Amino acid sequence: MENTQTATGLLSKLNALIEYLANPTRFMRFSQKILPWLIAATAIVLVYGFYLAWFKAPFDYQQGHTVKIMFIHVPMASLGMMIYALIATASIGSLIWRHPLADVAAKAALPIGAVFTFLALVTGALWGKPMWGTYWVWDARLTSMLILLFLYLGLMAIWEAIEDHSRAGRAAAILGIVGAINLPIIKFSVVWWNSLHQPASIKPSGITIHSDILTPLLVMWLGFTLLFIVLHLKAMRAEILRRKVEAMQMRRVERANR
Amino acid sequence: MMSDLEAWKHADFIYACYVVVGFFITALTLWIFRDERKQNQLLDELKAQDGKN
Repeated sequence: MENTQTATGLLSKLNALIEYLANPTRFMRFSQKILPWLIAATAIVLVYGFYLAWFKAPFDYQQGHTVKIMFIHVPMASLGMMIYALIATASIGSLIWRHPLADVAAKAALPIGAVFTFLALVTGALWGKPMWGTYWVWDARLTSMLILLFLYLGLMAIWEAIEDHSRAGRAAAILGIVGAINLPIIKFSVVWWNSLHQPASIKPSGITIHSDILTPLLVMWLGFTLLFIVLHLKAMRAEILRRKVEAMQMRRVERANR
Repeated sequence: MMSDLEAWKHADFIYACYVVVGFFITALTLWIFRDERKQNQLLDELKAQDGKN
């Protein structure tokens, strides 16, 4: 009962924050204030994470020091999926509630999600060659991650191809929501199909990683999550400014034509 | 038990992974930060020009 009340309270606070930030001017002020703190926190956590990964984490009894690739690969892969979930949520916000910053948030997250997913595939391949004996197999997990990368590229192509922001936003939002079907496929691919890829090591039923490896992994994950938040806020600010510049230029052209 | 030399057997792959990730993350960060600065400058220029007119 108490937990439900706390969750409801948190949700209403989050809702209030989202409503407060629906105004682009307020969002610009808010992001300007928190960005220096976020940048500092990101730098500290990432440096500490790299220190743990390189100098503190022991080698795995089977993988040797190749396990160091996992400290990058796992955060990249999980963030690649989480960023897409954020894009799908923002797409719903844009299509249904017409939240003014929803399509800005979705568009700004695209290149970051694409790079993170690409790096998850590359680091996975670099781990796969020494461990599996091959860079790539057409395995369900690997293939569905590749489809995720194509979804990111497709959404970026839509934004580039359609000049009108509202039309581009609607088209991208529809593909964004439809593409979310790929997320459970990625997540459960290792359960549903015979896969070379290992199943999840962090589950509600328990964690199968030793704390010496788990700690650097979680610190790196936190560092890259903070990095994503910083980059996303910056990219959103750039997009809001770009739209302001375009609006001012349009007004100038209209004035000149009168 | 694996020796430390054996554990570093695939060092090339580990270094390659960190170099590739470092390169792409740095490039992405610089691109996003530069884009924001560029749009800010453009907006300031337009506002200054509008002020003159």
